[in-house]
Amino acid sequence: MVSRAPTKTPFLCSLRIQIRVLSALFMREVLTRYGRHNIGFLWLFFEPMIFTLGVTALWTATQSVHGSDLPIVAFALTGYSSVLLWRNMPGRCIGALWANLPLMYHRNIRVLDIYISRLMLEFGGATISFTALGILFISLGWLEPPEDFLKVVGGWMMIAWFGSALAVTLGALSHQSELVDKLWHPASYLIFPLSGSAFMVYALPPVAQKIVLYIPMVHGVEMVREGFFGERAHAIYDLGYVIPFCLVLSVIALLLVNWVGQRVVPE
Amino acid sequence: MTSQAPQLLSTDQGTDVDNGFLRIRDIRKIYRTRFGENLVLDGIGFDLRMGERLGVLGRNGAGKSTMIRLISGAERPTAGTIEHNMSISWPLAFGGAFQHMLTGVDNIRFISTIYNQDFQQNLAFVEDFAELGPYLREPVRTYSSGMRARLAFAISMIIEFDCFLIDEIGAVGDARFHERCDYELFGKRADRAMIIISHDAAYVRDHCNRWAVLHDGKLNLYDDFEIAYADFKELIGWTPPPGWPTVEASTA
Amino acid sequence: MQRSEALVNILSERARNDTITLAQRDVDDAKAQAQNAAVALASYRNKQRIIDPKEQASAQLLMISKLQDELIASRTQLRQLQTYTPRASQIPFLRTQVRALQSEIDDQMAQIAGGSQSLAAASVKYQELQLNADFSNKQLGIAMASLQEAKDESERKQAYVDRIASPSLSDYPSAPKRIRSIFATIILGFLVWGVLSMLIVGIREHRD
Repeated sequence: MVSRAPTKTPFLCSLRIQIRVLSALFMREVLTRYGRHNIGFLWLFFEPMIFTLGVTALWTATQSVHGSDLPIVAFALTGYSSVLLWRNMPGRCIGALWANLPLMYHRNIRVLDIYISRLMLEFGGATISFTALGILFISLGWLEPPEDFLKVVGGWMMIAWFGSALAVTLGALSHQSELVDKLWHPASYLIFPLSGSAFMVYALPPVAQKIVLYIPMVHGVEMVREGFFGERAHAIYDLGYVIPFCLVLSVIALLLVNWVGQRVVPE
Repeated sequence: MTSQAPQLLSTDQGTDVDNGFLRIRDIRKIYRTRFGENLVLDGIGFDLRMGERLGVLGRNGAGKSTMIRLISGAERPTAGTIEHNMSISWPLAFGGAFQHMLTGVDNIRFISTIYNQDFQQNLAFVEDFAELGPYLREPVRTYSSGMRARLAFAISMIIEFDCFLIDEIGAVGDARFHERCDYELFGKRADRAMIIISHDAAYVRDHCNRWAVLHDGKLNLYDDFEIAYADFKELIGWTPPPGWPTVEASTA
Repeated sequence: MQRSEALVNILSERARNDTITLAQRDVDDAKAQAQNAAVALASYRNKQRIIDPKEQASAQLLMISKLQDELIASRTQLRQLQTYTPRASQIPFLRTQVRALQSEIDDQMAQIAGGSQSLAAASVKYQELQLNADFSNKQLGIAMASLQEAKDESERKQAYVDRIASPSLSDYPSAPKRIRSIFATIILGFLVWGVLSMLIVGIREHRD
């Protein structure tokens, strides 16, 4: 099972190659998804931005109950941006390998690279749209600047980590079974209302709180909100639960990628 | 049968490491399908040095393309070792390895980045060689198969490898294009190692200096094309129909 | 146990001492002030040779009114004599008396009011000093009272620590859960190691 060049490539060299490969794949993803025409690259964050704006408008119009005294705009922004982050990542990674099988002819393009490039794109898009909308709303006076910027970043990275691990896991599984693709869409819609985007854990009855806190992205969203609103958010989250959860999921994801990588047949 | 010969050769000229070598030992490849395990390659081994061009004959589905993918490193063998100190190309074929949604230029940029090559220089070469004109800036999916073949070959020639893996490259294109391809590959790059897969026995005969027949997961190596071809025909139980004298006639 | 009692009492002792010291200092200040005020008053009295300007003034006013009564009587008598017996030998005598009385009254009046040496002037200063002294006295009283209060309070603050339930070994330790922590650390370590090593292997798959 050994396939190697006798002259071992130094680690830093390998890293440089991977970064090169990732940047090439990333540019390629941007081009295939948004094309050179129209507003092209702008779509990267325009798409999530339109979604967030739409949801904000809807929620504002219907005066939705979300169980806290936080302003609805801020609530929709933090909530829906987080959803975009963890939901689009798996959506983009499922079936990614099938679409990119021709690329696997190139020795230095590994399965994980394909996933990482797509994750980078999703993470970039969601982050830029979150930031851009945040700045827009703050300058309009609809939103207070975050109380603890680093906590917002921390929560955001938590969601991104979870989303990435989940995406790679599902992506790798989807290469083996089409069922994953079929199941993910309904599943993502089912998880969406439970993901903490549309409510504060604090506002739920204690029994529901306990159940909801088993869902990992809830912790991330709560953390983002605490970073944004401080004490007013009454955020409830437990890093002692999410971090091990994400670690386990990451191990599973990487094992699956390794497993798929040994079986992938370029086309 | 004669698979020992090249290994003996390699030990004789084992000092020739600087020129590059490819050493393949006991490669096995098993695909797990829904209907059980499918043994495609069952203990393949050979050596290849710079300047050697190995032509591989085999019927459809014999595992020729699989073997090439394993050597390229795109896929991993189930067992066995592949060692080399040459740079090895990806399996060059007229079909794949590029993005149909992207333009020809974007594909060139992509390949250039992946293989750390100068994009402008490569673009100039492809523009000159593929003769696609303005189509080079259109998405590849709008190309005809001939244009795709030209682009694919040009892109394949962008990067200088020590060992080229060539999969059915003689299949597409007109005579003039063939000639230019042959010049690029066998004229300019006569000193490189190559592994060539083709259904076209004449092509293999004309351009290779070693041959092999892949059958039932085993690879038999030959230094004489006629013997290889005879074995090949016998193995696949194929008798040339009347009016198929090309190969024998030209060697006779 | 004993040490904690000692500690509690040391702490309360310190607090007590602090309050008492503070109150004592207040009392001392007030005492000094009261003394100063009394001394100032006494020395003023000595200097002006007065005991109490008010009393003295009223005594003098009484004297003046008596003198005025006499003056009026003398004048009336003088006028009667001048009208009915202008040649009476008492007339010059009465005249002298009236003049003497008049000058005495003027003298006395000048002593009470007007002029820097008058009783009225002295009484302003005197009252000021008197007020000061009163105020100081009152302050002293308050300070004394609060000192007493602080003393009482601190007496009450003395705390005693006693053992209500004897300490016993707990049924099971609730922290630290050593085995649990060790396991958790090992597992987390393995997970981190797994992720990192697989990522590194992934990077290493990229070759020239």
